[in-house]
Parts: sequence; structure tokens; C-alpha cells
Amino acid sequence: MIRKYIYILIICFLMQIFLADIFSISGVRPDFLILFILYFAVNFGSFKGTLAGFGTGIIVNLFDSGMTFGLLPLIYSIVGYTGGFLKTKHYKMIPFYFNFSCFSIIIGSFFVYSYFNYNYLFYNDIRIFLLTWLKTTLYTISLLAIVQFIVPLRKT
Amino acid sequence: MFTKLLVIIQKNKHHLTFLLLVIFSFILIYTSNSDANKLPFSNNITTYITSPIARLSHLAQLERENDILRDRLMVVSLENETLLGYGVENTRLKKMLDFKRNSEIDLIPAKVINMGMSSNLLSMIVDVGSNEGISRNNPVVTPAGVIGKISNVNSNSSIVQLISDPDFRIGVRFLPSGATGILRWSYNNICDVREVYKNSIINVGDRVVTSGLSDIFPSGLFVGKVSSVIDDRSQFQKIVSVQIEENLSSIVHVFVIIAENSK
Repeated sequence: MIRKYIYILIICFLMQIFLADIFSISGVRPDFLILFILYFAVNFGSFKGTLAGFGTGIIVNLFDSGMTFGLLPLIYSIVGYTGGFLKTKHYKMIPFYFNFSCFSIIIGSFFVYSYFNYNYLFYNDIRIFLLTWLKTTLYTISLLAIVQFIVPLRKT
Repeated sequence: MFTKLLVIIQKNKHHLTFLLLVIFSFILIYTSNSDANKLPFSNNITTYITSPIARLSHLAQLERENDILRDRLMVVSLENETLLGYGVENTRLKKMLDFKRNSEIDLIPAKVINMGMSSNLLSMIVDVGSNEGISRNNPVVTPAGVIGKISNVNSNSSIVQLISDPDFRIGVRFLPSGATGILRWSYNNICDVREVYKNSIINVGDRVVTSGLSDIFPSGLFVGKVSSVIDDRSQFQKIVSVQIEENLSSIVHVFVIIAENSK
């Protein structure tokens, strides 16, 4: 089971390197890895989700060239931790609330990402900050919606 | 007592792990220097993996680029004729003013290999490095103006910190007024220039060039054009919005300024 996820992680990592640029819209790129962490956490729980998130974040930070070191481990850990609480819930929760929770996790984590990256906008021009945050978030959220449609989280 | 503690830890290990890793992440964020946090080996691997793909995509773009360049060549040839005339006139006027041109710029052309993996465009990797004479803090430009500076150098590749990185600052001058300020990225292709004196006369459409007040960027490099001026009564300084003319997400070729040679 875990081996399957390692393969998926490698595929997501390669997609992030090769395809993120191709899919970029006015400088905003989708984050395939955050979706992987969410799927992983929902299947394996908070403990493994947090560790996987932190580990993936560190690896991506080492390979990426322009981001504050430590920011991705933080965001991916948050996604892994919060996503893990949905582990056993998808049998009990109403599908709408379950999906809403998944989207909220991504939206929240991108808020943290945008806050650290653009905190001068947060304090100087909240409108532009919110626009930047929404623009960055919407792309990955749309991708999550598509992936959810193809491989629903409830059935992984 | 000890067993009880172990049981509590075991019960709450996911909370504790999360807490520890978050603390560790914060330590990394606040202790890392954004310019010096990259391991050269990982950067080399990224370059090695992505350069063949980049080459293929460059080939695909070549034909389209060739057509555009042919059109532009015609326009530039016509402009060149006009500029040659201005050049002659300029030389004559400089002689009249006893003005000596004392510097020129050495440029190294470079191809973009990779644009990083983050959700927003903050940096890119180019295919020139210390073997070509590139060093840290060399300015990076395109025909449309300044786009960043070299933040990390390997033997055959370098990382460019783009103007869109929130940590990037550049000293600029407005023309024709001569007022100076500090530029930083805001959103889309708009940058804010702060620390501009309130009494400076700046109009929409004014050219913005590097001020030359820092050691990194030589003076007079084009940065962008003024798109709006905010002159708030409650503030001691003006805030000027500047439109960057380069589309950062579609850059293929750049130039690195390796030296400003004194004549």
C-alpha cells in the first residue's frame, strides 16, 4: 500500500517539475504535491500525514529554487495533520461536508503560504493580498475538484 | 509515572509530532537566508533533469519565435536608422559638453531551464554558471528591462531571483524628474515604488530606470513605466505603481550583466 503512494509521490514530483510550467496561468501554477499529501493523510491519518507532509516539503524545498526554506514543510505538515482527521470520517460524514473539509484544508494552507510570501500585502493592501491568495488557491482547488471526480477521496 | 507519561505521548503522538515539526519549520523559516539556502547538488539534479525537456520546448517555440523576430527585425531596423541619427547627434552634443562616457556593459546570453516548483513565480534557473563568468548578484535583464539578479551560482547553471520575489528590492530613478525610490513587487506585473519624496513630480507614463545607487545594478537599466501615482495627504511620501513590460512567465532567453567595464 505504502509502495503505491511512493510511486504516486514520485509521479507528482515529476509532474511538478515538468508540467507545472506548462499548466501555469499568468504565473500561477498548480500544486500537485499538496493534493498527494491530502490523499495520503486521509488514508493514513494525522501522524503519517504530518511526517509525509514535512518530508515532502523538505525535499521540494531542496529542489526548488526560490522559496523560503521551511515554508513548504510547514504547509504540507498542516495539510497532512488536518487531512489526517478525515481518515475514518469519510464513512460517517455527509459527502458534502467531507468534500467541503478537504477544500477548506487546501484553502487554509494556501492562506498560510500567501501570508508568508506576501505579508507586506496583507498589512498594506488586503484587497490585493486576498486576490493573490484566491488566484493561487483557485487553481489547485479546481485541480482537486477534477482529481476528486476521477479518483474520489472517499474511495481511495 | 513514567509509564503514564509514555502512554500519554503514545496517545497524542500525532499532535506532538505536528507541534514539533511546525516549530522546526518556523525555525527553518526564520533562520534560513533565502539567498543561501539551496544545496548545489539538488540544483544540479534539477538542471540535469529539466534541461532536455527545456531544449525540446525551446525547439517547438523556435519557429514561432522566428516569425515574430523577423517582424520585429523589420521594425527594429527602421528604429535603428532613426537611432543612428540620434547617436551622431548625441556624440556631437556630448563632445560639446565635454562629457566622457565612462562605462559599458558586458552581457552573457542565457536560456531559461526551469521556473521553479512553487505555486507562484519567484525564481528561475538559467543555463550559465561560474564557467561562463557568472557570479552572485549579477543583474539579469531582457530587452524589456530588468527582471532579477543571480542569487546562486553553480558551474553550469545559476538561480535567478526574479523581480516578482517579494524579497527582491531595487533602487530606481524616475525619468525625467530624477526622483529616486525603492521598488518591490506588488501583484500581476505591477510593482510599488516607495521612499519617493512627496515633492517629486512624477507622471503616468514616466520611464523608470535603475538608480545606480547600489553596487548590484548599474544605473540607467530600464525597469518599467509609471502606471499610477498615489499621493496621500496622510503620508510623508508618494507611492508610485510601475508596470513591468516583461511577461515573466513566458521568458525563454535572458541576458546576465557580468561586468560594467570602466574605459
